[in-house]
Amino acid sequence: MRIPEQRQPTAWYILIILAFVVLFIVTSYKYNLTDRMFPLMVGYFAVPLLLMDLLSLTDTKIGGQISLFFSGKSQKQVDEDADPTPRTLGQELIIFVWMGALVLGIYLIGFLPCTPVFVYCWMKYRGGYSVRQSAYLAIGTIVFVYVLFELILQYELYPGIFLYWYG
Amino acid sequence: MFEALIEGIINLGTPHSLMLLAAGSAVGLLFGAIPGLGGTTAVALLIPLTFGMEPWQAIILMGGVMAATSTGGSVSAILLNTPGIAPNAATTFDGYPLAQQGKAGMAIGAGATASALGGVIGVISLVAVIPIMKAIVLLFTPPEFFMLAIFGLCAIAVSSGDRLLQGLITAIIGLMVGFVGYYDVTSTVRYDFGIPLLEDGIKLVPALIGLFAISEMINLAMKGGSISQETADVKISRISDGVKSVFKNWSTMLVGSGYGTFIGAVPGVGGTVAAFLSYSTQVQRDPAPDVEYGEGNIKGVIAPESANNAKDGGSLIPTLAFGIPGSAETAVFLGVLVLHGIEPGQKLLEDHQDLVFTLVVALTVSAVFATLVVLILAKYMVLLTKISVHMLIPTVTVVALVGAFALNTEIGDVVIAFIFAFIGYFMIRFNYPRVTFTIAIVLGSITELSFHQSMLISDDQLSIFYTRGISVFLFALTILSLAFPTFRRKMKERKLAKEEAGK
Repeated sequence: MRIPEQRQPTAWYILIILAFVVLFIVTSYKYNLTDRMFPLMVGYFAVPLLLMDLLSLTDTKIGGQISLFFSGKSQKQVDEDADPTPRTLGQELIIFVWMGALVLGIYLIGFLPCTPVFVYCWMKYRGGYSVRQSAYLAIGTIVFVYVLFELILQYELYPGIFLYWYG
Repeated sequence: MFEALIEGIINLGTPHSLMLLAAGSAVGLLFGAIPGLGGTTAVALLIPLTFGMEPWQAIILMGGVMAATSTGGSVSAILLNTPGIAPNAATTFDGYPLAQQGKAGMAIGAGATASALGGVIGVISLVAVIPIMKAIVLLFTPPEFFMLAIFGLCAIAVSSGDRLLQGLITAIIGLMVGFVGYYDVTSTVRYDFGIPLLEDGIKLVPALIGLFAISEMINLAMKGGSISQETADVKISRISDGVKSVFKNWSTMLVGSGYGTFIGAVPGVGGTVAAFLSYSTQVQRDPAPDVEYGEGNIKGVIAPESANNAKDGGSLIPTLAFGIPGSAETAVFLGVLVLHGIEPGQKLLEDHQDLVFTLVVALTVSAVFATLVVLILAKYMVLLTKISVHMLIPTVTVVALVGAFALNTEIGDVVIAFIFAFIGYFMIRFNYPRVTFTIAIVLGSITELSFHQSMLISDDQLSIFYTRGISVFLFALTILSLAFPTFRRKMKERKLAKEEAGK
């Protein structure tokens, strides 16, 4: 019951969801009957569905039948219809680091300083735009955010943990 | 009733009132178009502005916002694959593929026209059913609410097309996410894992911003290029094609409006379910489409857009008649009424009919006004599709994160949006429908609450779900919707076999 290489990332994804469901079911038993009854029904319903999804990735007869029943397609057809965008773990990690840096930056120094820095860096280093174009968009974005949220809507945008620390 | 209607028209006829309506519509369009803001935020933020106004002026301002939000949301749904508000999510299925094919103008024209007509039909329904609505809504008890939620989830999973299994899985995971946090029935905090951020549950707005706006930006970053793959082919004339297509597909628009009005009138279910049900019904009604659904079928834009605007009229039915809000937006609107000393219910319908009809006229005019604005500005809006993703990604991400923060001014909501962005990205990556996941999060608490209430009513007898008229009907619809794809495939296979035998 081997899963072909191109479907293995999907299999890992399903296994992660399965792990989440198992954690959910185990955690449910900490609560009283009323609290856990409906969540447990839902949780136990998820397990066979996930196992069927996992089985449908295999090149077995039952895998093919599951695929055909739920999608009306053979697994080979599903492979052919998949998004052709090439995605490597390395490329994904780079994007995740960019986004993570933005959220960390917002947490540390707040929205107002972080916004133009992020927009400028993205435009310049990922988009390959000139310094001037990058600066224009960075300034435009921060002006829009400031005018709409701080001035018009009167939100006090998060100033960052550093500002809280230093009063 | 006729006198009240005239009074409503007179109230709206002054320059000051028209300015209020235009301002409300403009705010509604803006908040609808910017992912993560939405009509509820707009109505809530405008409440302080109404302090010094007469009740009818406040109603006009709020009516303008409510009627325009989903029209604005359809623009970003079509151009950016990022629904401005949750009910516009269904519009992305075919609206975005149309934009990618260089037919953004056509999609916007169809969406805006369907929105206007749906809005007007919803308002007409509101006027028509107010006298009998009380009896209808009171027929919905917990078993019916439970079955309606289950039917909604299954129908939406079915509308995922060839991803039915994955749709059901994400629906279940969404329900699980919906269980996180404080549970009213037993006053227990569940599944928070000791994290204070989770004690109040997963907040919907930051989660939606992450799932739809930021995850899409991450996906765009992986793909690169520009939003439209054929930007050079975008033609302005296609806007009128879109307008015409709504009249050509009038039955799609009527059915969508019917769904919107009906679902909107059921408290708590709201425009998102209405839009998705309308979409899935359209897919099922049209077994042999000229263009496959999900690949740029214009009817896939008309169906959800007519539904999510018609729901505005529908959701006001229980709000005005019984003081039961049909959606989050009408819940905030209810607050505006109370603030101005107006008590919903029989008294409002009998003593303040002029206010009810002022709202009716404001909703109608705003629906048409917002559509005209979108149709006129769409010429410029389509240019958005030519923007490089490297300009969009940082700006949309930042604005989306600010939007996630703004609703509750909590930095934790930014983290929620960030986490859901990655969940959303992996759902795109492995082709798991985000829509069923989202609806399930929304319906999680309602479903569980209705289930427990049903169990209490029936002494823990599950038979309560299949021994009552409306719940049996909804149960049958659920089974039919799940069986429908298999039935349709069998019919296709049989037809093909017959054709081959004939040859």
